[in-house]
Amino acid sequence: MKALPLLVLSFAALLQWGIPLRGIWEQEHVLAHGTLFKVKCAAPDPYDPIRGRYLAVRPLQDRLPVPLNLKKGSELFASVSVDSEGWATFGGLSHTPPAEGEFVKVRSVGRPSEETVAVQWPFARFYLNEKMAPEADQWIAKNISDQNRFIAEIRVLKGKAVLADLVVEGKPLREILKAAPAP
Amino acid sequence: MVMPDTDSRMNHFHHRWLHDQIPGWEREGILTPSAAHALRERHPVEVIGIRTAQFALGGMGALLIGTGLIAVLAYNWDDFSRPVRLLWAFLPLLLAQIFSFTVVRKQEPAPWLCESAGLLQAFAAGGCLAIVSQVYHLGGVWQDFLLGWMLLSLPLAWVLRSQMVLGLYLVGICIWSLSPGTAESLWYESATLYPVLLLAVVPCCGLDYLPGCSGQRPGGSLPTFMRWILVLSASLGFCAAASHAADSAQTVSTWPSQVWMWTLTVGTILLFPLRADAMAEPGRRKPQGILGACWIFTSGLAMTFSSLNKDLPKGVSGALSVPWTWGILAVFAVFAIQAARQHRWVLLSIGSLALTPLMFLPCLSLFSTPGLLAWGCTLHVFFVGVLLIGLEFFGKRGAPRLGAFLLAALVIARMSDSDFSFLTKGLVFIGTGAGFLIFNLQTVRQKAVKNPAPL
Repeated sequence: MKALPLLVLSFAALLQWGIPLRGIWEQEHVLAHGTLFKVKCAAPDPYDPIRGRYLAVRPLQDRLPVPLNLKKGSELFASVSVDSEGWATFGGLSHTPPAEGEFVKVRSVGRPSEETVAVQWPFARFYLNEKMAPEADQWIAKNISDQNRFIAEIRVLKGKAVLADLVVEGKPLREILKAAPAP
Repeated sequence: MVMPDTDSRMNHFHHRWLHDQIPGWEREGILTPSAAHALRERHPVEVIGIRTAQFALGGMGALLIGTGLIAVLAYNWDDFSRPVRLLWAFLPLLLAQIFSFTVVRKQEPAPWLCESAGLLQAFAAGGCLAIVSQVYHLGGVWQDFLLGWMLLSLPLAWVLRSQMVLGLYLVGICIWSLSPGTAESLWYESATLYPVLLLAVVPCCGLDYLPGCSGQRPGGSLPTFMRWILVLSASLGFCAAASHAADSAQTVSTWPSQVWMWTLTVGTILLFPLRADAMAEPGRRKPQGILGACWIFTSGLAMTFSSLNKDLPKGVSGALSVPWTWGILAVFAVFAIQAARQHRWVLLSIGSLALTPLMFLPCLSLFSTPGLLAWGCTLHVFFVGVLLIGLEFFGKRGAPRLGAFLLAALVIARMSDSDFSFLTKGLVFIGTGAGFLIFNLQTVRQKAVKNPAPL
């Protein structure tokens, strides 16, 4: 009779390891082999009740052209390219992956207008520890007049996008906050 | 078999005192062994309740260890490299899993060990997922994380028979189902998934309360607090599913439809079939009765006000166009038939109040008399109140005090909504109050005649 509980417990243990390990493998694979893009964004400081404080990374280009036959909440693919100044720009949305070039899997949110629709990005959060995130918010409000000078460095590979770092004026944000005096 | 005492006013402490005295009385020859056994059966003590302190301490210990580890790690978190952070994510999980395996392999593990192991592993799994999300800045909403965590923890409730993990799961899926979603969400991304999630706890709760099922749930029956958590979770979860179904049907007049669908859902839960020995348990061990009666009485009395029920017919018609409503009605009918077979007339009469708007819908479409629904609801509530009292006179098990309370509440509701003068209202209130007191006195005297005090 003990065999069944042990079997179920083993299966549960496998899942509890397997799910996070699979996530880690996918993220590490993208970080190691993905193409680097730099995206201009804003980063306010909300709160996740379970996972803690983070900066909500919002690319400045947050609305994209509406594809045909759009359904609310549907999964879409946004093509990514680099403009003449080296910044990532997102092109049109499609229901299937583009044949060429890099693309990011996104999800449409809200009601679309006639021409554009808002999307939910997969690299929307930059976690900081509980103390740093509100300090980051305060420091940013005090020292950065243009709050859209955050640069999100993302790695993209076959539709998956991973946020590698958040940079301000060429320096990683964590290092700036560590060096900055307490507010 | 001696049926447990449900009529006396002895509470858990009295029962426990009696159990403590019985061995001494047997030794002194005051009680025979068979009489002692009969007394124990008539006044059972919740065995699980005695172990509550063990559970609480074991669970508290597990939580404190987990919280302490998190606090220590958080202090130096930014100084750790990514591999080290991931190591800290998985190490507590590994240790918790080893502990759980050790507990499961024991021949008869102590309940508090099972609880501690289950809680530790559940929180370690959740912590591991949270830390990996943080390290890799993974997106997604907290509701999806919560659901994933609950599903990963559920097998622990099955295997370790951990009531704390079961409670955590029930609370977690309830919160997930109540979180705001969109009407366009697929069924497995919305509260409509709740019934499937609730079915998953059947291996823990067992079917031993349903008629026709035999045998006890291993480890004893569910303690009272767990039953309350189960019923609250089920009530809120099913109501959230009904709301989502109503929202999805865009032609429905949402608010009155939803309220009626909630009332129907609560009425269905109220009539949930029980085995004979479960029916004989005290009321506090059947939270579906208490919560169901409170909601249905409130909604029944509210429906007697014309100002509150003017949009209700339209809402009910709209709700009938939603397939989910027909599903609830079908289950309600099945439970009602079972309740009739078991002579649970009190619950049937209370549950019937949920169907009042449906019963009067055909009349409303034929006659457009203003206030017809309010009058119909008033008559129905009055009839239910009289029935609850009258059942006792026909030798059936009634609820006379509940019936008297319902009638008094109805009088107050109608008087407050009427244009009678203060004098009339005052006289009616005095008469009702006096009648209530006399009735209460009569009921006490009748009980004293039935259960005379010992000489």
